[in-house]
Amino acid sequence: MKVDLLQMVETGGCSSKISPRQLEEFLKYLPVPHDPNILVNIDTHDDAGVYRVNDELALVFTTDFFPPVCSDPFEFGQIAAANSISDVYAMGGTPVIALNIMMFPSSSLPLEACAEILKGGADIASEAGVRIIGGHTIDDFPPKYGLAVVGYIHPEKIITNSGAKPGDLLILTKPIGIGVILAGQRMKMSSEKDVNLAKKLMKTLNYSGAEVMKKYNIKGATDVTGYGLAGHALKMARASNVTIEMYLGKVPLIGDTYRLVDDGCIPGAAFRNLEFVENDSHLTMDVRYNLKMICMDAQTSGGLLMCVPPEVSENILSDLHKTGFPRSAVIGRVIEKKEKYLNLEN
Amino acid sequence: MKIIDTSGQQCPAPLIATKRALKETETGDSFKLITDSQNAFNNISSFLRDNKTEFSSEELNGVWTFTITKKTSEPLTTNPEDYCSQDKLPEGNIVKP
Repeated sequence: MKVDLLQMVETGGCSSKISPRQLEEFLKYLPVPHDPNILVNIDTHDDAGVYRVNDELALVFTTDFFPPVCSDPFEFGQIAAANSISDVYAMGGTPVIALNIMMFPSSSLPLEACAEILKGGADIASEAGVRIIGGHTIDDFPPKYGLAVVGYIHPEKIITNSGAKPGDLLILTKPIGIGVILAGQRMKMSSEKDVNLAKKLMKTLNYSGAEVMKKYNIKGATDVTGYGLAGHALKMARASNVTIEMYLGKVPLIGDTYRLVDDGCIPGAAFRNLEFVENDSHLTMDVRYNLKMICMDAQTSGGLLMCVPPEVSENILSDLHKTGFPRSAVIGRVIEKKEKYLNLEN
Repeated sequence: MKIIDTSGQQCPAPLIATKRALKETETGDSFKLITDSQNAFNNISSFLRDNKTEFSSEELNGVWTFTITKKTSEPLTTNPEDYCSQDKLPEGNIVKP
């Protein structure tokens, strides 16, 4: 039996995240533990928590899981694993060990599909040098998969949302439009070429982006996932108390993303993200609706968004272009805090 | 008046139908669009407000009916070709850990 995981879900990947506004609403009731060894907690909405073990070593700890973004179980496992591991890279860490998190409908799918998802996850984990040393599986519909990942980092070399400084340029390492292309696939509007490119991008580890950040001692970065480019930029601007200016026409897009959005193929998650972002954003009068909505598009296993000093930006771009991220581009800059956290221009 | 019924369709299909109808409608003319999805209702409302398109809506038993008028001042249109990329695949020199 040929398994098609996409038949089981309406939205998959990071589009399935709860809305950022709702998340903030209930996270505020959560007690925040106090411990001097907690170096990064949920205060700054970072990609992972960081806990100091000693002066030389801290642990980066993160988890992500979601419903299928593609039909093939093995590819779904690869994408979910790359996405989970990405949070460690976004903090500048080295991922080391992981646990599988699996929800699988054993009565409606053959168990081979479960094995294929896990094999896909193991494949990418192995590429990243991560050892999967256990996991947990429960019976649930629709299937969901991801990893809890632990990485190593030096306590003084942590890259966070709060490290953006006025004067920095903003570099994005992967083109966006994954949510749009996947919604277009369900509507039979996306080309096979674009869908394949989206899948390839989602499986691409952010490893070399993290290496480049370490080489140039970058302090502020995040990865772009469910809250879209604008949502993650906003979280960084808030945590750093700066304003981030983005030039939407410079944002690299996957294939026909713009045309699909122009035809109305805007996934629901983009509207959720817009609701979260718009009060904190200043849009110039002529900002194009389509470009604005693309910035709200939820990405799954998206690229790194890094704040880099202008004097090293050319070298960083050149390194990224040579190491698997040929469409990395400067898409904005960090300025002193203005009235709004985000300025969006064409 | 033209009536487009998107009942049973999930996002973004009703919004795609709305945009298509807006493109096909003569300036000054109106059409009705029906959806039974709360999400589609919210998203289409957001789209129409954002693009300053004239509309009204009414709800009856979980079914929403929009009346949408195409005005003279259409949202700024751009040439999609300007934003279509010649994708370079991330092949070749990918550095592995």
